[in-house]
Amino acid sequence: MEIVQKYNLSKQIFLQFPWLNESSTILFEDLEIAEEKLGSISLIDIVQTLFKEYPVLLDRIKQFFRNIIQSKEEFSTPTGDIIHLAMYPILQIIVSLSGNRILGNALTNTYAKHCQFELSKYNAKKDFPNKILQNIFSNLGISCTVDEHIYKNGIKYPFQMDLPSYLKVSTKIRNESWKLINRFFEDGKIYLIRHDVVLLLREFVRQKTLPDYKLINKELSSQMEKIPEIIDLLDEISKMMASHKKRFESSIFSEGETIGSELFPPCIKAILYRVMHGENLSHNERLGVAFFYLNTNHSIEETVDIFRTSPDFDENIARYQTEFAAGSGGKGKKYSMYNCVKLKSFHLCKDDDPNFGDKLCRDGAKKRSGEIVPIQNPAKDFIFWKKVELNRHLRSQIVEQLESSDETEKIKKKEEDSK
Amino acid sequence: MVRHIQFPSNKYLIRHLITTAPRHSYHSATYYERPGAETMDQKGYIACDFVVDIDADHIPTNCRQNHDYAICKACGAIFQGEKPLKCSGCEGAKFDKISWICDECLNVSKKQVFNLIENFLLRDFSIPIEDIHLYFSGHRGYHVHLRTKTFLDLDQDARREISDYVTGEGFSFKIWDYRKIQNNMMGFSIDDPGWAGKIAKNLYNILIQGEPRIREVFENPIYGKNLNPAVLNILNSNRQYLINQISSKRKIWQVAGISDKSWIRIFEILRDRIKADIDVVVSIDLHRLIRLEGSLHGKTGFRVMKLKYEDLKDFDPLKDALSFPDNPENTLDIEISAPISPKIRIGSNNYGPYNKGEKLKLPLNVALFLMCKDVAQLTQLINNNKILLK
Repeated sequence: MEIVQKYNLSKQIFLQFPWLNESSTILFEDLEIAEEKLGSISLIDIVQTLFKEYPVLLDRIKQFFRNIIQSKEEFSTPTGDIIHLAMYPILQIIVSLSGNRILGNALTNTYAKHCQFELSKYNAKKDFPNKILQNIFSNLGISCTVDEHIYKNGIKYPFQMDLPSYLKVSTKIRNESWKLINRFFEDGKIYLIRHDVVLLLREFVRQKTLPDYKLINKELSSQMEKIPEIIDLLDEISKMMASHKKRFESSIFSEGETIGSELFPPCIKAILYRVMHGENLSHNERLGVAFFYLNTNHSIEETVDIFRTSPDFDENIARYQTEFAAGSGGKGKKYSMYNCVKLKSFHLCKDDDPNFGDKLCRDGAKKRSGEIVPIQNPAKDFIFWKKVELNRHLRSQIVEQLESSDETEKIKKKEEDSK
Repeated sequence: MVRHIQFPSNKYLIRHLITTAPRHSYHSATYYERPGAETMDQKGYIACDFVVDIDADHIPTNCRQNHDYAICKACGAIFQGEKPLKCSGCEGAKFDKISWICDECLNVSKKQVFNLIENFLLRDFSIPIEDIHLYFSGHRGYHVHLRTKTFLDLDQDARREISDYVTGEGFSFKIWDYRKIQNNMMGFSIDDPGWAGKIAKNLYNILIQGEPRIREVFENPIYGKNLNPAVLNILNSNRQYLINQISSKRKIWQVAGISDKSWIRIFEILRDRIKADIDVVVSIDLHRLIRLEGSLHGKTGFRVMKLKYEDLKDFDPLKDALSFPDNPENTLDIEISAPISPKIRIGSNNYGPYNKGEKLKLPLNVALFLMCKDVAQLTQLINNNKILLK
């Protein structure tokens, strides 16, 4: 088979990981659709053919959604057969049609976790030797070479990833251990152990399987919604989501995506925006937002509520961690908010972000004397100076109003005098 | 500022510059599908140069105390060095600033460019020298543009990560195995790639140069507090032990009397010596405007010019970036308008300091510099407002 030769990957790997490039070729081969005919077949035809040729597909997809809607981000259906491969495009279409980003993130997390699980399990090194991992990366367009003879400080570092590929993923993990400065980096390559590479691949898969919500336009969407299986699936999903309302409709945020109070600093707004879209947060993001809430007079309940829209939300864990941060558990120590330097090192500072950035964070606050005070802590300095800024703004508006009313009175008086 | 202009060719750009004669000219470091579109959303982002800005303005230098001035707007009192919070004469808080340049600050920027290119871009990032485009900014520093495909496509997070690497931001002692194991402080190995190795090598190089060098480094750190004198003495007396440990690649650096906290301070001082002092904001910006090559810098009248890396060592901005021929007949009559005009070397000669009201006939490049710095005004226009260049 051509693609197997091209990437040195077996057909079984394509069946297991449908997010691999050109895995669809295997599907079309199974459906006996010739490559040259592909251009003339519409997406609607393909979807209909899949449901027709694989009658078990509909039930499998329902089972998949049942699982992820119940917060179980793992496959309860077989993962190495042609149906698993056929499921992938349908799942993407269904989530795009639903437009629900929380559902979309649950889908991507399931594929990402599955990949990590398969590549880390007991026999994984035998089933997926390092060379195969290299070929998987190559299939995804990531330059990562394998040299089994490289040791650093007595530890084997068989993988060498090129800088752009590494940064594309590592910067999204937001943990100091993934920072370039904390890695063995030389000649434009980052030296990695197998465990690192599996975690990076997990993040690659998460990014790659993210549904493209703009992919399906209105016309295509109305055509799709005429396919009985699609109608059935959309119905079933909306019923399932309705029974898990708390997770899929966060009570903290309005539908119009306006975020929190106007006193919230950009870093917190950005995290809240992510959580609102059902994205899983990094450890530091969770702590950052929890510390901020707990240090700005929010209750434990309100803080736990923030995380409800996270695909991997677990009430017990979230509550335990929040109580710990609030000083109700453990040593009874209440944690203070990260300072700006710390947030910067975690890549969580959004002072110059086009959507969330704030001049106050960037340039500091200006005292009456003209002295510039830098913002060093989002929970203290930012809120204090934001209040000052808002008060100043309010005051200037009042002055403006008073001045304009004075002006109108003067004009009136002039008019009266002239009369 | 006039923005969002697009030209079909160089010819149109030059014609525009001649007719409008802007004081400062910039181009976008970003490539757009429609660069002339009015809003950023309409422009269609394609890619962006990775730009590194090295400017003496954000590098601590001692010379600033000698040649920079603040002038109280209310009473005209002059303060040498950084501007004070309040004027000691009238309590005023508003000042005019005179920011000057000298050989020291220009050399500090140059040194940082060498550090960036040699120790980071070539060694760690392995960027081919032909992909590193170097420019003199026309004022106090240099711009380095990286135009390799891999750098052009980086997003903002990736650009910040690279900037953090170059500036030593986020180095985690915990992750780099800096810890106590059975009362032994574990250091780094000179063989370690990346920052751990850099710190080990730098410490070794300082230690082998002996006590005076150790004192110089740790008593005058670039940023922050000096190393505690008692710790400095202990470091000195254990110099040979540490040299042996580092050169034989043994990571146990335990020295009685140097606490974990002191070791971290030692590493921080070393980090600030190793890092390249770049303006991070410029490097992470995906929509940056950058000075146009060949234009004149509005604060000096010097040329923004492209340099070959091999020419950098001998490049003298105060001589090689002058805009007009150094012809003795090219002079201008000016009058000093600021309370003070500090000394400046242009070409091979020093000029000034001058005081307010002094009327001078100066070489064109010097007069232009003083006028661009807003410390002088033209007194005599030659041939009906046209300056003749000879």
